[in-house]
Amino acid sequence: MTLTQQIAQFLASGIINGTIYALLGLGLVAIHSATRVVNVAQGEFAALGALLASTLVTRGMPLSLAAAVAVGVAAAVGGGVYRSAIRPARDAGPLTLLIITIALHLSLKGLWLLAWGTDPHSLRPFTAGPPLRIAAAVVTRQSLWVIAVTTVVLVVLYVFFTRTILGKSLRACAVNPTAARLMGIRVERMSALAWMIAGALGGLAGVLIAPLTLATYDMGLILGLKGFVGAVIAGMASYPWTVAACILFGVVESLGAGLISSNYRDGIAFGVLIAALLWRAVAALRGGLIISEEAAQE
Amino acid sequence: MTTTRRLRLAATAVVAVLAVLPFAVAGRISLGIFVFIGLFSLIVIGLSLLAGHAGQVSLGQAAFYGLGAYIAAITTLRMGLAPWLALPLAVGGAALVAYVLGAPIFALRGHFLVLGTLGLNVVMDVLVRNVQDLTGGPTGLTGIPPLSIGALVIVGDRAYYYLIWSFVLAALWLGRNLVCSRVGRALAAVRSSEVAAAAVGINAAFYKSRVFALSGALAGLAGALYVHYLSFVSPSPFAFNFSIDLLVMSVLGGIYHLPGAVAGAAILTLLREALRTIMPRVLGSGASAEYEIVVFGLLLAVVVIFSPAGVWPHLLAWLRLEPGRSSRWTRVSSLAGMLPESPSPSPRAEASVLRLEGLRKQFGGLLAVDDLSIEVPAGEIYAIIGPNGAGKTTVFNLISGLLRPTRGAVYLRGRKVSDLPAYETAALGVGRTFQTPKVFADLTVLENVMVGLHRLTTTSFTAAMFGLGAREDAQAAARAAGYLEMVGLLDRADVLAGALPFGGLRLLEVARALAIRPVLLLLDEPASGLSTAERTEVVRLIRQIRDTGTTVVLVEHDVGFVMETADRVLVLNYGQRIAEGAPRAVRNDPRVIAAYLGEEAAS
Repeated sequence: MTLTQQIAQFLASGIINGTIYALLGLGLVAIHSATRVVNVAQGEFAALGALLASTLVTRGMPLSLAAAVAVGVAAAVGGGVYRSAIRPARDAGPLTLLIITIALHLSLKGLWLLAWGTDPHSLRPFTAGPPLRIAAAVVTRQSLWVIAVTTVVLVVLYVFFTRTILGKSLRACAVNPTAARLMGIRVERMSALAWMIAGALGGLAGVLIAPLTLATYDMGLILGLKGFVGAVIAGMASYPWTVAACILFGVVESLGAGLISSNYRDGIAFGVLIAALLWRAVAALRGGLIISEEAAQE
Repeated sequence: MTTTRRLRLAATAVVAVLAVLPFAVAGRISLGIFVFIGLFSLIVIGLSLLAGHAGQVSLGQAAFYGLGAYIAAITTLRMGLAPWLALPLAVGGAALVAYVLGAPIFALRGHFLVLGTLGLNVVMDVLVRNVQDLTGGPTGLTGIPPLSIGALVIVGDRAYYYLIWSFVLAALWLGRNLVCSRVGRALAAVRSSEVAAAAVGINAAFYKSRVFALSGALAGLAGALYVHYLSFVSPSPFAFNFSIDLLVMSVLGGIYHLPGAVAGAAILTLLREALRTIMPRVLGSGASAEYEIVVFGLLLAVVVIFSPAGVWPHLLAWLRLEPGRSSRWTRVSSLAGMLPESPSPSPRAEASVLRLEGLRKQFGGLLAVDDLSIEVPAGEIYAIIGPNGAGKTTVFNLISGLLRPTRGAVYLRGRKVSDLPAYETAALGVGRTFQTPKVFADLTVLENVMVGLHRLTTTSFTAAMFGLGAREDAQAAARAAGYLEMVGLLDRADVLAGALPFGGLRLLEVARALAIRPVLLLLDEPASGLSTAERTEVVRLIRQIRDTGTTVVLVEHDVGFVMETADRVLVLNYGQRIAEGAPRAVRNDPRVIAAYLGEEAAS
């Protein structure tokens, strides 16, 4: 393979990984803006989606139905987690909520372990057939599914947030929960909805990626954290920028791992996370905004 | 027997048990477990200081533990450094990395440290496994020399047991000193309200990053002791999973009480040993280590939801050792009457103390303050009034540095302050109170005012750890008592601030703001919610404050109160000045009557 071909290949796989990270990053932003929680357990929804879809297909369910069930269950788990663990502690302060999501990460991962064991599970690609050649890169058919499905989801989300009352209410809660409540929006419900959306997006990421890698009980954490990198670069606020940042991050990770050494893949990924945090911090310091406007009105 | 004596007795008993433990367990349980509990305690003490007192969580303490371990291993093995010289290097290296990572991240409000440390942990792990020439890769390094001082070589379980537990006790002592010091009060203030802490000049990020460096140092120390104890190092004990274990230990023991760290480390380590024997019997052999996470995850969830303060308070209650609220300042506060009032800033010849120039603040489409220019001379009582939403509190937030103006500037004694962070503006002499009082609820009334003296006292982070601030603290307590006497709260000095009635909260905020020795004092609705008697008292207090040379700007709804106290009045409506002048003149201004006093005049 020539260097050009190699780079094209890395770019392609970077974009595909980045698309998966984007689904997780969007869920993180939804939860953070609605409930101000940094959800360490986000990747567990993806693990659930992947594992459940694999099992259902193995048991003979049609793939499309299995995928829908997996996404639905992940959404329900997202809502359930909010009701059972986050809402009871919502007045306990951000530190407690953060520790709760760490506990959720451990508990959910433990549950997946009890249910599915340590062996990896496989899911067949959505459509069979040899890989396709696009420009200089060779791309599997499943990769195209990842990009196509994500694009549809992004359009649906865009319409939801800009064209529906429910989506606008959710955005209003993120901007100012107190004002939203005064306008008659039921903030609790919107928070639950945000967690359900995050669960569904996570579950979908798992279903899409399972045929490309394998589904294991402990696949969630790293995936979720990579979604974080993009979300942090985008400031934990903007949905479109989160998608862009996640895809860019996927490409950087893929190029770095490919051109340096794949042993360093996660090192590069999390090096980028630290760099992103420091970059945002320096920007905040330069602006002199030590106390945010939100805090001034607390 | 008093609780204090019982506590002292209990502490002595614990030390005695620790001292004889190696002899008591000899031949029955491996002493190694207790060596490890000591090592983990060191790390968890740092983590609890960070979580319980600086309000931040790290998921990368295992990385600092590993950093200390590898620095000690590499410098002694590859560079031939004496182990006792490698130890401070390991501690310093881990502290430095923590500081360099933490200092910028703490400038971001919120919980981003957890992501940064987690990232650090993964990066560390990848580097250690891959830079094989230096670290030995996944198989690690062997033959690391034991600690030695001259001819004295420290080897064996028992020697390391005593060494490590001495460090644990020292760490508890340092941590306790820190928590009870000027720095500890500042941290408590930040935890309670970062905004109110900034308003008395406390830079939250400054102290958080130092606490984080300390937690890194303790983890680094544990790492170095670990490699000299085992004479072997490999990457696996320092992976991310162990950072989670450490957090579970910390939360389980209780993050608000340092001895809880030791309890948490002991409970989790012993529990793990127990699980290793029980699990294979219950679930069959194989993969039992994997199932630990289920137990740990549920344990963490249950503790954090049902007892966020961990097991330590329950342990104390069970032993009937609940410490009462410390009343160590009582004796000092009784001195207050004898102390001369601290000198206030003398009024200077400057034309203006406060000047706003074309100040504008826009929130999205809402113009809250619209090109406002005012000048307040020294020694004046200046009132800002206006209907709800006129932008009065926004003006205060702009002056005190909590908000940045969209345009225009704020000058204090001719110096531009509108580009400074709030804690710097406070340090230059802008004191303020809040519309909804923000007192530090879990500190006493006296301690709240002592926090106000933060920038006028000097005990450093390091000095505080070694308990060197006691003398200055006593002086600060006496000065704080003076301010409490001025506002009439001296008899409540030892009460927790959260327990004061509403009027008391307002007065306490004034005392705390006076403690920074303000050139300019901003009072946000000082009379609202007060009884008639309290209101009269506040009028007297404001005049007294002005007479000692402090310029007062106040925002108030109560027009009668303003007419009674103010020298000059500014009337705002929709962020714009509609009138300014002497109270009587303003009252008769037709524009004011139309915009605001209309109903008032009619009634």
